[in-house]
Amino acid sequence: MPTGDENVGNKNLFFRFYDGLYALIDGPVTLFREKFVEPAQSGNKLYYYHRRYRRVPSIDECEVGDPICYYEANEQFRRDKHVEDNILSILRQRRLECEHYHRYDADKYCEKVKQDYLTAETNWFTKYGDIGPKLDVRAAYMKQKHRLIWERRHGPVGSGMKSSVTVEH
Amino acid sequence: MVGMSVLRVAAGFAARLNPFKQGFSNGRLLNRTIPKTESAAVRYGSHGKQMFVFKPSDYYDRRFLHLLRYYILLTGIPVAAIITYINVFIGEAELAEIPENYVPEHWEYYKHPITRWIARNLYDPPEKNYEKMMALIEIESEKAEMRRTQMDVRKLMREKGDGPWYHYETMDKSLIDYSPKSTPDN
Repeated sequence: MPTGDENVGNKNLFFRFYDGLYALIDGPVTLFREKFVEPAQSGNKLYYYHRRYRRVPSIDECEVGDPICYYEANEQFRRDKHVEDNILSILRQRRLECEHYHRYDADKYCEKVKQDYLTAETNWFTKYGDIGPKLDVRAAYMKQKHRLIWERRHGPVGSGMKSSVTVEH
Repeated sequence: MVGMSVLRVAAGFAARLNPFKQGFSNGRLLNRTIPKTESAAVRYGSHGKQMFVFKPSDYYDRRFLHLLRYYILLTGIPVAAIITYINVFIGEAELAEIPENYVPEHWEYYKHPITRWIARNLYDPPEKNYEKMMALIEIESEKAEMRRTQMDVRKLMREKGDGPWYHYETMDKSLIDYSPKSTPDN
C-alpha cells in the first residue's frame, strides 16, 4: 500500500522512495485497467444486491404442534446468529487493531473499545453459548427461559445461588 | 588408459631406481592419485574428448511429462482464455442498493458473472428450496398427525366397541332354526 493520504504534505525521502517503488508496479496495472478494461465493461454494467429477508414469527409466537413455524423461526435464528457472529468479529478486530497500534499505551487509549467488545462477547455468550452443535432455536429459547427463572429465584447471574428456595411458580 | 599404465610402470621403475627418494614411495603406488595426463593447459577447438555416456533410459519419464502437459493444457488453455475474457470484458458486478419497487431476480444477488450464469441456468433459486423444504415438512407432519389419530381411534374402538371398526356383523336372529332343540326329547 502507498504511504497514505494523511501524510501528503509531509513526505520524507523514504516515503517518497517507497511510493516510487509502489508506483513502479501499480502504475502500469492501473493504466491498463483505466484505459482498456473499464471502457469495455461500462457498456452493460452488472449490479448485485444484498438479500433482504422478511421477519417471520419467532419461536415464542409459534404454536406447539406447528413444524413449519418452527422451521421458519429456526432459519431466522440461524441468519441472526450469522449476523451477530460477524458483528462480534468486527468488534474483536477493532480491539486487536487498537491494541496493536498503541502497543504499550493500550491501557490508556483502548479502554472503550475493550469494554464494547467485552459486553458484546458476554451478550453473545448469554444468547448463543453452550447450546450444542446443532443450531436449534428451541435450545436457545429454553436456555433463555431457564436463565430468567434462575434470575427470578436467585437474582442476577453472577451473584451466586441463594441457599434455600421456597416453593416458587 | 594405456598412457596411465605406462606412467605407473615408469613410476614404479623410478621408485626402484631411487628407493630413498621420497617421490612416490614404494608400497603405496597404486593407491596414490596419479597425476592427469592433461595437467598441462590444453585448449581444444571442439568440446574435448567425446564420451559415450551410459545412463538409464529417460524415454518413459519424458513421455509422461509430455503427455501430462499436453492433456492439462488441452482444456487448460481454453478455460483460462475464456475466464480471462470474462473477467476483463464483462467484469464483476458492482454492489448497489435495491431500487424502489423492484424485486431482483435470484441470480442478481451474486457478484461474479460465471456464478450469476450458473445461478440463472443451472441452479434452483434458494426460495424454491425453502418452499420445497416447508412443503415436505407440512406433508410429513400431516402424515404423522393422521397416523397418530388413527392409532387413537383404533385403541378407543377396540376398547369400547361402539364404533364402526372392530364391529363384526352377526347373523339375523330370525334365521336361527331352533327345531333341533325345541323339544326336550329330540
